[in-house]
Amino acid sequence: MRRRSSLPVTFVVPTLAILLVLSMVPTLYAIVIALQNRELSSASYSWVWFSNFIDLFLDRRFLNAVWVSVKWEVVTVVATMTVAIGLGVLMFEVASPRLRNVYCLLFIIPVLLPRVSAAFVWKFAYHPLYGIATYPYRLLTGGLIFDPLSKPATALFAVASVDVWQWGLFFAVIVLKLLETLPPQPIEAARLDHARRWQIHAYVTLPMLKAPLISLMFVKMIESLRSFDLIYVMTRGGPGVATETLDMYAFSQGFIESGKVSYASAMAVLMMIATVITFTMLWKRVQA
Amino acid sequence: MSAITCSHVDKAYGATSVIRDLNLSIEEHEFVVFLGPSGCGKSTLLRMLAGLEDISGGEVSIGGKVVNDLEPGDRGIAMVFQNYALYPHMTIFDNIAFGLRRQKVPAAEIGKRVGAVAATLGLEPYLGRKPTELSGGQQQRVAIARAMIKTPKVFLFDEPLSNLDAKLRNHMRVEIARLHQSLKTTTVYVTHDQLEAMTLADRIVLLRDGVIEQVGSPAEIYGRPGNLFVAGFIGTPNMNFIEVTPGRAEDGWTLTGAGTVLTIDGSGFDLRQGERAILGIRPPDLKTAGAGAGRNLLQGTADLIEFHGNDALVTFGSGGKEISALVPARECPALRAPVRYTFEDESVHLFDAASGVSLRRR
Repeated sequence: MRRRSSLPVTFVVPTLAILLVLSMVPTLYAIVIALQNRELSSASYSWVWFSNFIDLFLDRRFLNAVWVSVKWEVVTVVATMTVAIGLGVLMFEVASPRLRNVYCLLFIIPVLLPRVSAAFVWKFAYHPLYGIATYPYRLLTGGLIFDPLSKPATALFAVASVDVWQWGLFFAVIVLKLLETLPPQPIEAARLDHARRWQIHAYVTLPMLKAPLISLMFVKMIESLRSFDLIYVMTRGGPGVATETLDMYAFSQGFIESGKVSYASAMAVLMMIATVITFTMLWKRVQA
Repeated sequence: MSAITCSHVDKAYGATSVIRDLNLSIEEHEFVVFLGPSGCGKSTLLRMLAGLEDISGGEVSIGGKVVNDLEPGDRGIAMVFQNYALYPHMTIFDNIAFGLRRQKVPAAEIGKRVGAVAATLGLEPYLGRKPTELSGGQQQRVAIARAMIKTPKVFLFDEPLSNLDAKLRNHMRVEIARLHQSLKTTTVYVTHDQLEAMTLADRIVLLRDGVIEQVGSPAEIYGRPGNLFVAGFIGTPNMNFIEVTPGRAEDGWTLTGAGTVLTIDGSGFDLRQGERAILGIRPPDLKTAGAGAGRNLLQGTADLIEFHGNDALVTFGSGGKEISALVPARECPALRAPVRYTFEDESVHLFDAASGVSLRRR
């Protein structure tokens, strides 16, 4: 009596096979290339095994890129979650249901913009002479020039602010909706228990939303890894290497400056390994 | 000082009025139950006392102090919710201690007080667990512990037993009654279960559509219902209502209706000749009549018999009217057998047919 239907297998297997090919082939190919010394300028190559990786660890620009990437990741994720929770709670506390809908609509618009468009909009907003974002500074200082994108100290934060503008506002809408799904009684019980407004959120609502908030954070962490387009448009990794993340550096090594695709692939492989390890560890920790 | 006074209290959501001009005073140490059908405004009224709903008009005072604009935490009350409303991410200890921590009570004292409350309610083994690891009854006990630990002036219960199964409900009801006996805290308890109301209350406030229908002790409400609604709402099985026309007789009054003529003394009632009235008799007040002629006979054919264990509810038709009698199970007739029931004068309730108000003399 083991006549199970073969229908599920029929549907699932081809899809999975295609997905497997699509995801695994480029990955494996990247690993293979990383072990060779291919360059865009010539067709000949040889196997150099791990020498690309050894070179990377001696490359100060690579180490800088690692540091910038870590900074970018931390700054964008922390700022996004802070803005999202802060704004979400604020809307939940202050805004009437109708006003909430209006805010939600407004806050979703930035994330709907293509990254490149958002980057161009803000690049112009940060323009030292004409930008609207630098206008208050010019007004207050009587016309002094402030160019956040060309100062190493501020460039990363200026670019990160665009990322937060897109994702923080969007996540604020999600946080608001999450708060709205909570049962009202524990909140009421907390009010009876002498909790102030902020204490209700700090001790009751946000801990109740721990699991979805952590999921949101993971989504943002993964999203923050794909910041290439934003940085490329706004600073191209500059000034100097102040905003050169790993993907920026890999791109410039592979295609712009020297065409060292194997070197760039080695970077990509390292990034992949680091990401997999980090996320696995974080995930395990969160689940514990 | 923990008396509660509501004077001319109104509640409206937009144009919809939920509670209209409600006046009520609750004495210190009293156990008052708000009873009524769903949507009668009893929970809203409780939430207004708690400060979880705004008061649209009128004044609420607790312990002689007007609390209309006070935050819920500052009213000296504690509330137990229907669905327990525990903080799901905290341990039982933290749940109970939450209020004290917000009031910055020293940790040592918190530990001592939580221990004492947990001992009273038998929660000691569970202090380290999360609410989801507890049964419904235990969770409700935690909710009561969380309310108790604040030593409030007033306890508010919002249908606390509705989510429990029947057996547990009885058990918890007894626990709440005991708790009130020992703590003597003024208590307001909302329920739609009349058994809970009857067994727990010092006084019952019966509400309908945001208006108080009757306030009184359980015995008063059951024995002397003020109007048709109260008479029909209180008592299981429901009171029989028979439309009758009163007429003068030499030794009292005759009541004609349901295909029969009944004779009562009627001296306790404001009856008027020919003015239609509603006769109310509770099913347990109908007694099996012996053979032969008798006074005040209601007879018909038993067409439905519900066995309750000790008793049986016999429903029969008399003059086109369904009447129920609750008789001892051993007197239970066979289905479709002719039945004859009678009643005592004292068990009669009479209401004005037009207004529904009781005709009983005050």
